[in-house]
Amino acid sequence: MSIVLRNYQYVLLSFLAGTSVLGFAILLPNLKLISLVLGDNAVSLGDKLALLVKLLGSLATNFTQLSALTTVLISLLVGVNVSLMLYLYRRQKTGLSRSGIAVSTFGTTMGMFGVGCATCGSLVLTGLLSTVGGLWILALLPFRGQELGVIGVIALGYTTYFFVQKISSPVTCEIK
Amino acid sequence: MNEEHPQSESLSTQKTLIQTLAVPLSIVIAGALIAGAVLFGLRGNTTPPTAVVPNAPVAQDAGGTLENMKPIAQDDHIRGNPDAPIKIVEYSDTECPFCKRFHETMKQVMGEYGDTGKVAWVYRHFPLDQLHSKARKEAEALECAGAQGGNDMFWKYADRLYEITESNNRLDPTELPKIATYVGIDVAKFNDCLSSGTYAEHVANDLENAVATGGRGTPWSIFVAPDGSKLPINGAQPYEAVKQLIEQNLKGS
Repeated sequence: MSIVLRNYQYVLLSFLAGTSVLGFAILLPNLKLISLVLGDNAVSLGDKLALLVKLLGSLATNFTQLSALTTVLISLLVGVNVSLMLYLYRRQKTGLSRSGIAVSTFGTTMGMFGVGCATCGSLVLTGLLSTVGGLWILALLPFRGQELGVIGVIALGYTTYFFVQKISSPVTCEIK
Repeated sequence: MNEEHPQSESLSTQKTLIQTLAVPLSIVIAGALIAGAVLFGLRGNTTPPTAVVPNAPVAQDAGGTLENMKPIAQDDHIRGNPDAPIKIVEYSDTECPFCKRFHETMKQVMGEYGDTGKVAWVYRHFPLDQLHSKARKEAEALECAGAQGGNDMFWKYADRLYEITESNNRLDPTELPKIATYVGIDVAKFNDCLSSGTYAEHVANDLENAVATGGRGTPWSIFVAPDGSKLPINGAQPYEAVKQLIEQNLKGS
């Protein structure tokens, strides 16, 4: 992994991808508020940006410790995964296995399902379930859907390990 | 052996097909699910905040709108100047840990903007029965305190309850009369009020209104700007974010 992280372009890419995921996850509960304020011409650009920045503080007030932790970890791992995937793709197009991308995507998706909500469930999952009247399902889960965040961390952790192994092994033709 | 060969070839083809489809399918499904959630969340003001309403009807989810908010009236519990240019109507659950957190945030807001009459805090009930079975009775207890001692007593009782509850349904019901004693109201009358269920309907009406406005969890707040326009605040947002909303709306008033 150090091969990749020594290159500042990959570090920057990881940072951008990770912070994008983190920002999206934190702001997700208030997309309606944000869209109303951003669409209001009477509000200055400075005030609009200030609100966005201040809403990011809800990571400390609107998340449980578990959900805050999984959200940050998922964002971090997504950032690292993106760089590793790009590195592998550039090094050898076939080196980036489909299963690796699939697990990485799965991990990110699970992570997005698991992020957010405090006592009672994940944000994206709850949003989806509410549209089909299935919110009661969350009440059955001991951590109200936050379990998915943990699954996401595990899946992304696995793909990070998987990609690092791929990068570490030399590009050779194997004996079949 | 000859028969096995085509079978293994077919298995291999299937495997390749699965491998080929795994990536695009997982990306498409992931994207569709997340986009769907965001889209529906935006449509109904319903992106859930901290504590969800597990039995909320689907129809209300799609139709919940801030304009359904019951107008602020005399039977509301208002902290601060009732004629303040900005009003924050909070729908809250006494056993939700994030409501406890947001209660402190709102106290801080009132400390800065309440005394000058710029912001009023309106408290309404939003007990989430499936998650916090004790919350509905606690909401009634707040009303019983208010019935005896007026608006001030309502807030005094609410402050004390939020202060001592450990949240997530952990407040012992025997604490309710103790809080009554603490705030200085007649405990016998309080107990009679609580056991009679006098305010059960009031609490139920508040809850119904919370859902009708698009509330899907607690704390659910509606920020009423000086021009009457409404903004949804989902969850326990930090003080700085609430302050930012107040400041930018005071500028225009």
